[in-house]
Amino acid sequence: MLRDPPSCLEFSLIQRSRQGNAKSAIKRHAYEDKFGKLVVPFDRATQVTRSMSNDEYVVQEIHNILKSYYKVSRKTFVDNMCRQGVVHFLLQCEESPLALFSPIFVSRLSTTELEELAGEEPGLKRSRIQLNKDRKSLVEAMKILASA
Amino acid sequence: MKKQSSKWYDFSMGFLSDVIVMVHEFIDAALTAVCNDQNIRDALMNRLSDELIRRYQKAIANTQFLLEVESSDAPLTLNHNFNNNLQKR
Repeated sequence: MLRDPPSCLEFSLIQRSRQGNAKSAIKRHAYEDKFGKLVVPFDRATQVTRSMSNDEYVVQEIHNILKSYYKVSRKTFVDNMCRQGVVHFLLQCEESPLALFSPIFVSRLSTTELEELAGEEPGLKRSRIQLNKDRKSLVEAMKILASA
Repeated sequence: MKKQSSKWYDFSMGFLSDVIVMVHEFIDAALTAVCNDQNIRDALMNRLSDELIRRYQKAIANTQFLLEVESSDAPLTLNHNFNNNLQKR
């Protein structure tokens, strides 16, 4: 959980920053007295920290932690989605859909598969064979005629 | 953590399918640009589509994995921004 070892390191930082926050909150009520020193009226100084009960403080604290965690994890998630889900898996990896149709893909196809894909229609093919045959025999006939 | 990421499933899947549609349209357009013959194009698309779908599914599976990590694990982060955010409150 959040208070596990790695985050414990952060916790001390958090506390220090809390103090910093409190300090700056008090500082807002400060003004300079005639000797040029910053002073804060006592009732103002206590006002800043006064208003929360124990329960409220704990609730506030937990809410802060969860909210911060949410913010960070949301950013991480969006980043991961974008980088992994979209850019890597759909666009840039070796196995991406865009890389599928490539010279390698084509060269892996067998002759029959190629024939199926890009071959001429059967009817057209048949008539081509037929016409070729006709042409041959006609050429043959011309030769015979020429020699006669 | 389950609750905070409960809506993420719809968002991310919606986003992912948008991108998949775009990729698919792009492939289609690219094929059209490269290859004029309708018949050959259809035959090629038929051949490609099985493998394409397998790859789309891979991307979807990855997203599901990310969502699972987000929703099931303990809320632990080493991200320094976590601390920064917390300080601001």
